[in-house]
Amino acid sequence: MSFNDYYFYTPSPSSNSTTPTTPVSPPPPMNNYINYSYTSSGTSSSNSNNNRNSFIQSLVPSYLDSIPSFTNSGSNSNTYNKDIPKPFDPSNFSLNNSNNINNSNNSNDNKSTHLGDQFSSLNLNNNNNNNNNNNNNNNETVTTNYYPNTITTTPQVLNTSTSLNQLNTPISISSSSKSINNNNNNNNNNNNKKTNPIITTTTTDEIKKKQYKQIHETYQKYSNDINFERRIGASDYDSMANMYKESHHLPSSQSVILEGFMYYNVVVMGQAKGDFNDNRWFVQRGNFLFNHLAKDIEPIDVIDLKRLVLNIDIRVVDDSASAFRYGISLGTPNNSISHFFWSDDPKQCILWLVSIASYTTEFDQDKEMEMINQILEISQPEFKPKKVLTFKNNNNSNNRQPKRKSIFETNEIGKLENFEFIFKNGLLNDIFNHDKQKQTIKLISKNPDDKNIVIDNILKLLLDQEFDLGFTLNNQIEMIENKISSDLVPMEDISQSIHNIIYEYTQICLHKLPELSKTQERCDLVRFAVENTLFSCLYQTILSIYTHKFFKEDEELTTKATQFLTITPVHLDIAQKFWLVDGNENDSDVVSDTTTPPYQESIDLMKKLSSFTTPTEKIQCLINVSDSICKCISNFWLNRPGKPSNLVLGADDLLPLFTYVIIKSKVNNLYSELMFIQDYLDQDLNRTVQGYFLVTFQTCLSLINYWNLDEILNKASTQFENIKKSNSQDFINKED
Amino acid sequence: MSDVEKSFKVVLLGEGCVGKTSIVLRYIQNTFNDKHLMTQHAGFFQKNINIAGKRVQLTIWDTAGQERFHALGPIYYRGSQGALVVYDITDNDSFVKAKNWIKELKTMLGNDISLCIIGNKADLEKSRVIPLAEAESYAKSVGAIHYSTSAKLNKGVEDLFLDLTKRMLANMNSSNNSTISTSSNTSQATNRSERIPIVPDNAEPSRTTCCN
Repeated sequence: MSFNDYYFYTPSPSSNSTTPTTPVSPPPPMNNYINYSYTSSGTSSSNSNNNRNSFIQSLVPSYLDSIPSFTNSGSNSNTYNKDIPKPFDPSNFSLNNSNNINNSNNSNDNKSTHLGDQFSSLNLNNNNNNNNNNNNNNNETVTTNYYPNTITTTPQVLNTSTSLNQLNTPISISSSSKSINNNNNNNNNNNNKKTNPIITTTTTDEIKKKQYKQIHETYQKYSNDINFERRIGASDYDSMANMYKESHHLPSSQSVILEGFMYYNVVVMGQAKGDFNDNRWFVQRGNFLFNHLAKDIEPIDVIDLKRLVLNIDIRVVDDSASAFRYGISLGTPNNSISHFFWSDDPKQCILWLVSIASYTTEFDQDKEMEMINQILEISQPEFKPKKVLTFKNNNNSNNRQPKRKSIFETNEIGKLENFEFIFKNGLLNDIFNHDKQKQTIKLISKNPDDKNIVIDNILKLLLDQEFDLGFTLNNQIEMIENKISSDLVPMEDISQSIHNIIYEYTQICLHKLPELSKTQERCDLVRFAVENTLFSCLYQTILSIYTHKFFKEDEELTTKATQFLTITPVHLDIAQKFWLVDGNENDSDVVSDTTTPPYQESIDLMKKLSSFTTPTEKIQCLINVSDSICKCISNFWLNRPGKPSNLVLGADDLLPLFTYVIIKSKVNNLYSELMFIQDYLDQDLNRTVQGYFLVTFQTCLSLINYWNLDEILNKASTQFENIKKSNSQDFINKED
Repeated sequence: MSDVEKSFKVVLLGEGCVGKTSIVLRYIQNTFNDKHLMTQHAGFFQKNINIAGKRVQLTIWDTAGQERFHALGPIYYRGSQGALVVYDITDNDSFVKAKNWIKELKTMLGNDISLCIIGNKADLEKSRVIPLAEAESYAKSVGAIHYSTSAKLNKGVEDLFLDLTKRMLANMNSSNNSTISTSSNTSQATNRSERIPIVPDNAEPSRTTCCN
């Protein structure tokens, strides 16, 4: 299920010490499953772009002063606009003093053609036509990507032509500055000559290519010692674009493309495997990623990238929320399996990302670029998690094609405040660290056996949106609601997600409440509390889907059940001792003799079925009905003469009686109720008494459909005649 | 409570009035003082026993024997490791029905299930219409084991369940050792049931096995 494949690195070291029942030390506190995930969908990412723009812009002013040399170090650069973005973290780059914002004169003519074109923003040319002595500051490129507005004021757009030319020249690394020298001298001339014609013919594609080019140059900057272009094997940007497609067929693609250590975890069907610090040696050959336990030993696993969807996955590692693990996730399209790779070093992560991305399914370069930008952004020392994009669950669900768009839309700026709050309060350190939460936990721990306290307070803990745990859960609930209403996701998927959520949050709670993991009963109670929390939000939605979906079946059952409203246990073809009527042999009218029908208590219990909102309560309701049937029998015979020796109710008699109780209770939407219980009851209960009564309920509903009124009446009268003839006591004893 | 190493589901089949419920009841009630006896509900029985040093939990699912329920059998017996198919030695019809159940179980569940054919009401020996030899040879021919019981006189009941449990344990081991596919039903159910015991430390073993 898509959004469940996330980890909770919840354990806090402090609580471990108080958990004697935990022999293995839980994973280290990679707290808080917070995720800076890739949120924009393909090219239609204007929302998140804007978002990012505002973020960057807010940072820019502080840097403006620190870059005095920013403007116009090149003699020819003209009309340099003060609004032009600065590298948002100059300290990261050695090129701060090089002014790369060089404008060609020609460009002025053309800039108007690009006004308002968003893509043009990506066209900023980092070739310093005039600054022969300056290295290009590639970083500039990245920044400008965030500023569509500024582009329109910058004539640099026009330099795209030079970039294209430049592609033919291998990029070398300037050892002193570790930045790329783009051979601007050569390009300069070309640029001036060609700018106009080329620009007028510039297509979106070309612009994009340009954009990728520049992005890749940016990588080069980050990957200081690694010659990026050589690794990718393309010196020309056009061929580089092709390479993405062709490389699959090149024999050389089987040679090692990239290798190195990465932290690795895998999530299979929502279950996380691997430890926080699992470190593996990965070797990428073509579209295969080989997983080695250590550097020089044989691979233990191979991942075929072609079938996987790539996403980034960045996690907060330490308490100060300043250290991150940069990672990528590779998931199957249906998300049954997700591989996670992290590195402490953003450069490594980007390298892997770029190296892998082109082989993955659903790959497109816009997406790649955006993911890289996010990593770059977050890796800046100045980065404050202002723009935390989403939680993990959202990240995962954006793997689901049908819902992709709307999910993004739900994760807009509105959530940012919340996140800041969480960071400010250091709540990421420990999901239950707030005083308010601690109090609640204390209360629960003191009353581990008080059902109501546990249930109410766990609900409080889990749903409090003020804290990230509640925030996450609420997000997940919202997502499920979206999915349900979208009608695109099969019901099984939804129930599976809910099962997984219940499972995971139960584990969180049990971990935080060691007092409650001491007995099975308490564990069950916690599980129920979590289930209750979830269904308190979702029950109405889910049930309405079921009643809609099973409208026909429900109608059919109701119609059929209504036909049998007048029957009594006498008609059920069961042993007479379970009729519970005071018919003496002389009374011919046994049936209508009673004012309240037999088993009225059971019927009343059954009527409550619809009022419960969790599968556990509903199934318990059915069990109670069954127990009450037994109780009715023993109560009836308690003080009566002729009490049969054996009043044990077997399935032979229970099923008709149960059916009778269901009919008399006139519960609506029986089929929907059944399907709801069946889909959402904890599957582990299938073999227990709960499972038995689910099956019983199911059988009874079939029986209602199967019954034929005339047949029942005829059979009953025949039986009744027989009994009247024979000695009733003999009949009762016959069975044993 | 959760010290049970293994849990088996046993389904109870047979025509109405053959006394199948009485057999289970005799088994459960005779050991009523057993502290491991679980709460009883109509139609569903549960009992923990010690066998070969293992704690085994039996859950016994009673079914309705009447013809009209026959089609609903599968939802009761799916996932069970043992079946008790009961007939009345004084009633030929019930033996025919028992044979039908056996046939169906073998078709649906294959060799994963330990089959018992039980001739009940052994106390009514003089009214017997099904010769013991016939029943036993039939049982042999379908890979089941035949037992004679009398719930009324408490004859053969204890042995029946003990024997069945041993067979289910053996069956489980052999199917685990041979192919995974044959035990798929069982193992699936087991995996699921092992998933939830939610104590944090339980999660650890499965984690470590991940990437191998």
